[in-house]
Amino acid sequence: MSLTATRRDARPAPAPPAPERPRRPRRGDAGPGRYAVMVLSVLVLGVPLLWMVLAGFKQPDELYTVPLQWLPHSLDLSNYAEATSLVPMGTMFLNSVGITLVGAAGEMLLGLGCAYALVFLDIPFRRAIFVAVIFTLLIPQQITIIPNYTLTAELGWINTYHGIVVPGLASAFGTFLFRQHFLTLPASILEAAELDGAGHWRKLFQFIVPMSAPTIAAVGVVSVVGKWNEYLWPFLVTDDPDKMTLPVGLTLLQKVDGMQDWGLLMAATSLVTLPMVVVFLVLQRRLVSGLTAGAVTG
Amino acid sequence: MTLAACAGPAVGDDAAAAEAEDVDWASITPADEITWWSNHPGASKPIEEEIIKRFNAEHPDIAVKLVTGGANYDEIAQRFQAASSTDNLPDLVIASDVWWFRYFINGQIMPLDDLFTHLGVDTGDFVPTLYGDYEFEGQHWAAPYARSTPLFYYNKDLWAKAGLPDRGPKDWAELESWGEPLRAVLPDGGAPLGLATGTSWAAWWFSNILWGHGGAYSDEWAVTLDTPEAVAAGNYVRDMYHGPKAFAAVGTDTNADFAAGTFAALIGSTGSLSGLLEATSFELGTAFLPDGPQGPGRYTPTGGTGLAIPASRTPEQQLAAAMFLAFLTNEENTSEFSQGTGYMPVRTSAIDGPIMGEVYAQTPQFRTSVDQLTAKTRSQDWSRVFVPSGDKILTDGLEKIVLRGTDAETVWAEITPQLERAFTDNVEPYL
Repeated sequence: MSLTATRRDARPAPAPPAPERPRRPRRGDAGPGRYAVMVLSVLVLGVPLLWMVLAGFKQPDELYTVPLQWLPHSLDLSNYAEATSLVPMGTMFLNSVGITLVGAAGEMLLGLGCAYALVFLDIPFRRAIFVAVIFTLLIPQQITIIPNYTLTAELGWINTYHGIVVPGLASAFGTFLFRQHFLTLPASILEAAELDGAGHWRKLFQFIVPMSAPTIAAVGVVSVVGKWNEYLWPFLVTDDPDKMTLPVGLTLLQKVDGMQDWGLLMAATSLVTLPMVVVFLVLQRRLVSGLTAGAVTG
Repeated sequence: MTLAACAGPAVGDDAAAAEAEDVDWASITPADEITWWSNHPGASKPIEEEIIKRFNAEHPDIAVKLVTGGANYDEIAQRFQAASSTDNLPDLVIASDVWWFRYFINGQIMPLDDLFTHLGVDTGDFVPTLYGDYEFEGQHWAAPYARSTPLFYYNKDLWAKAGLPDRGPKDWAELESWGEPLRAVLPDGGAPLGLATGTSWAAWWFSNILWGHGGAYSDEWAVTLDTPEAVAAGNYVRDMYHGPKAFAAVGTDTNADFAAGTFAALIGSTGSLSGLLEATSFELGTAFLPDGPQGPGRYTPTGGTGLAIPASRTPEQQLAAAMFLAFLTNEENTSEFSQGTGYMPVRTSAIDGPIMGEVYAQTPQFRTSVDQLTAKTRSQDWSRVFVPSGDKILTDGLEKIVLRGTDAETVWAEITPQLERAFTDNVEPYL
């Protein structure tokens, strides 16, 4: 018994319990600080949008008030009616949709093809070519506008849809993002495709594209938003309202000197902006995962 | 965003002038269609369309296509610069106070004198200051169209509440002394005077303060911002916004803020008059711009836009464009344009003509702007309106003074070499 006791006494004292590692907040958990940041971000981004939509229902006497009046007296659609009567908003909306979809699709196809060639084809100087592609991101659009305009005019493409779309089809941004993503794809898949007798087009569209959905979604959203919002080039090459896009159409509602009719402008701007807000809301998850795809290559 | 830098001078002005002088206009038949690029200053598109209709009634063989060339003067200029090396040019183009000279240097516009002589246009009837603004080396390179000056607007209701006399301030010192009583009747966040910055604007209204202090941006091509008068004027503006007696504030849309009662007074273009009369729920007062420490004088800059005819169009197109330009600026049409927008009538006969007489009776505020035009205006300093990017350089400097409260001497020393370089690079070689 004493032996047992002795043994027990001789045992080293138990080590103090290791301090519990702070539990990483589960996805979905958020401390008050994070909530505050999120709420602030939503307010900073959301309040101007909300103001824009509400202002579209207001008459001048509701807009020019002190203190600020947030809510309109009624959901008066007269600003929308006036905007659509002053400029052909319906036609411009269709122009914007068509030009955006065709332009973004073309940009993505070219980006995919270019990135595929840079990663999977054994072409000489491909690194130099990639650097050259990236370098085009450093050239401001304004520098290329006059030569582009001259060429477009010589081709007789002023006031045409292809005059708006074609000069903007090449996308260094898309090529860069696709290339970075393609570098992360396992080579074994392409080897299997080759054994299957797949050519380049089949490899690209049957094997690579399905594995690149998030990146394609990300490039797609960025491209669609860019095309939708583009102003300077469509403005320069169109002077016919029936060929104009929505952002250019807004120009027709602006006033030099006189009082801006902000209710009218906000109604029209809502029509221009909200489709893109919807696109973002629908594709936001894919956009985030796509933009981060290929970020870690180690 | 401006494309001005991208399209350097292509040819000298001599070529355009010589070509125009060589044409025997009597042997030319006008083209049957012309294009006019406008930005519809002062929301004038319906008025412009109405004038085109009247022109078509008089000249059924000449169709005029009105194109919205941009939202403002700078956008029209961007489009014009981009198109200048193509055949996609208009036959008549908006040429604002800060852009027409650049078109002239680039050889992009033609002198109008011979054409107007051939058409029998009474150029002596143009308001001399306004027509003279487009004169260089003995030729006129544009004709006045939507011409304006800055004007002092005030809220008569707030003026009465503050116990001020129903008139504008005689000089800036008087307006400063009215700051305190006005603040007492303004809402929180309001200011006695709304005065915005931005290109094609800040350097325009500042001319008034600069001249009132005895300074100038330049003496012809020589930049004169290093004078004590120019420094004093710049620091006066700094104190208007940042000093112990600050009475001015900027706004994104000062017209809207003024209409809302946030500002008691506003310096705005005469082209805003019609819009302000429509938007304000209070009685609108108008007055001359205040004088400065130099005492009464001609301290109000002219501004707005003229119309020019591109040099590269065919003589047939140029003749048709000149016919339309003469019609557009005749006594009746300039009066109607003024009535609808608030811009100045560009003909002396129109100022006291029957249409304008009606306008003054209906809208006494309009008389102020016309009286100011004849009594107080002077043409602008060359470094603002003739030097490419001059307005932009001056605006950048003024924004440092207004928004950051930087000392004027420092700012002027910083921008003077930029203005001089813009002249030596972009003007001097082509004179």
